[in-house]
Amino acid sequence: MENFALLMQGFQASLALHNILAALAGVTLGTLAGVLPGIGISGTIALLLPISFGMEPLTALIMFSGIYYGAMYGGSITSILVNVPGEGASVVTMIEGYQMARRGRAGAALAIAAIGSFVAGTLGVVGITFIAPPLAQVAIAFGPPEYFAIAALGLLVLTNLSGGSALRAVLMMLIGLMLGTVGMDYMTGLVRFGFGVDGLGDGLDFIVIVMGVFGLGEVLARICERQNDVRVTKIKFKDLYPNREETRRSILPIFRGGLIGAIMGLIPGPSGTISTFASYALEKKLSTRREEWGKGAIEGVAGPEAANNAASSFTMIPLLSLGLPFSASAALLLSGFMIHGIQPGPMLVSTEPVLFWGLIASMYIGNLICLILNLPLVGLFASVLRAPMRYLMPVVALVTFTGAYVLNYSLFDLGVLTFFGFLGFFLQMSGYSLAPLALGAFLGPQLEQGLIQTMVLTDGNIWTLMTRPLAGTALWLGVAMIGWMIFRFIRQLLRRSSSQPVAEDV
Amino acid sequence: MAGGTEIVAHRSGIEKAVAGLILVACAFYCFHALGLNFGSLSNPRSGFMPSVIGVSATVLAAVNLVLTLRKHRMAEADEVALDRYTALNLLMALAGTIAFLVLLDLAGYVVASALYLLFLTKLTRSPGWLVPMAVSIGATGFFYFCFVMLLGVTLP
Repeated sequence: MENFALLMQGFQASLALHNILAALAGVTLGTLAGVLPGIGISGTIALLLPISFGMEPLTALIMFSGIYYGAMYGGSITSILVNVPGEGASVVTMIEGYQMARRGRAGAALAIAAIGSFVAGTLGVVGITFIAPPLAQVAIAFGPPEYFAIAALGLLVLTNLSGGSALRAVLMMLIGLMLGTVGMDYMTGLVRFGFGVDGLGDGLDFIVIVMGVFGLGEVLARICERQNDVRVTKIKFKDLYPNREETRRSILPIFRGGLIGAIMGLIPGPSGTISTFASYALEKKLSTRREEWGKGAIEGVAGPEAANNAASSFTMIPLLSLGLPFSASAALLLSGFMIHGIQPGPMLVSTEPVLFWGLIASMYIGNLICLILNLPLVGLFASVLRAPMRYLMPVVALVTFTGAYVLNYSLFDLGVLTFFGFLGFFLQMSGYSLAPLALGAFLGPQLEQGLIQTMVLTDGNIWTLMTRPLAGTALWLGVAMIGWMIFRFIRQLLRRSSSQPVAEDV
Repeated sequence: MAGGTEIVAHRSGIEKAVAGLILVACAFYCFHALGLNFGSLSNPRSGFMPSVIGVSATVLAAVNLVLTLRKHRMAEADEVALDRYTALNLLMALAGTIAFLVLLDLAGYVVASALYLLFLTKLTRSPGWLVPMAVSIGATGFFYFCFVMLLGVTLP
């Protein structure tokens, strides 16, 4: 009951006119940027973080929430209308959504995607409302060993689930951790890996790294390739309504997708993407109209879209209650919070209740505004895709540079941005996953702090950790996972050497 | 600005080069990390974590390089990763970006940004000069207005 009263206070704060306007601006900008092919949610958030400067913390959080939901829906628009997924989680939507668009049902596909996202996203926020505060209460008792163990396990799970080669994912994570060690050591005050360069003394800014690898890298790829005009399906407002049959067929997939997304969302890693595949597979299995799959089955849009949104909402639970982000976009959101002096974690609920509950309330509002704004304006957002990329991408490049400069007013950061932009371009071209790198860079300093405090606490006896209930469980799981990875790797090597030469992923 | 479809690099070539560069970078980091004070298990110092990460990353980067070389020796087909058009555009984008950063310091945001945008729009083969110039000046003015006038941010 007390939480309900606090939530109402949060709504009261969030519903001020300037906050509603911030939510509207966030959803609009998030959707516009999310529509751009290839930019993805992380790139969108990274590009738009700097525009929150000068805002009050709660207003900025509300805008971030709008950007987050807007960017997710923007990715769906691109998948359905152009057959180009904005990010991994939109790939499954594209399969059936684009086929629906080809049959003249693009409006219905977009509407069901929006409604499914809204329903599952709202259920996800309800989940956060009930789960995050008690988890934060429990987490107050966590010490450095628990934080270290949870963060380490999260990174290990992420490298296993990030798709592609596990070896390369671990390597990217380690490189991210390396980047996190550049700059001043918090214990000794010693500058590490500074090489006499002034800008390196303060460390590398995580947001600049992410803006480079996710934002500038993708923009460069678009600028450098041959420009092709994009064919976009036109949408009329009257076509936006799904018919009764389509609505009926979508209801259960939306709820099932929401449930799958909620469960997957608590697992570190690209839970959004994985949950969309799981939902698609389940709906296809349950369907009595197998012949429609691959030709525009609406269940294949409703379920995965709901799953993606529920998963994205549930990834906020560890972020808000533990202060640990387990996806690149959550890490970016956390950076956005930190720009405004807010440190999510167990203490946030008790020390900043208005802000915490205001943020939760803003998620409900952001979700609703996303639905209200995007349904009638989908045609307008889709028209961004008709704008010539030859003009649009250079402008996005300039936004990226301007935003990166504004973060620290540092020209050095722009050099770092350029370096990571080109690095991201080549890493992606060579099949390396960038999410582990981003998360490694973000969690690196926390992991190091946790590890060193733990070593001091246990007098260097790491086995003491294994006897602590939570840290021990997490670490044993981590050990089992490493064992499994090594086993899989050796098995793959043995298979390769005994079979015909076939090109496989490293 | 750049043309031609001749192949500059296959995917395998890029992958090998990237795997090699990753190994060099990891080894370089490891070398410097091992030079820091490691401390002991009960009293870890500033070199503790970097040494652990550096050694692990160097070993994995070496395994990755070996596997990448092996993989492409066994592969039959190879995909084109960079043709002449893309490679030249990429080089010019890099040169243009570096020039932009230098100009930003010397001439300030408005001049440097307008010229950089004009350069990028011409790099993407935008026809004529009028529209690219209008886009460059218009977008620069708009961002200057948003960041400086509305958000009160100081730009160089």
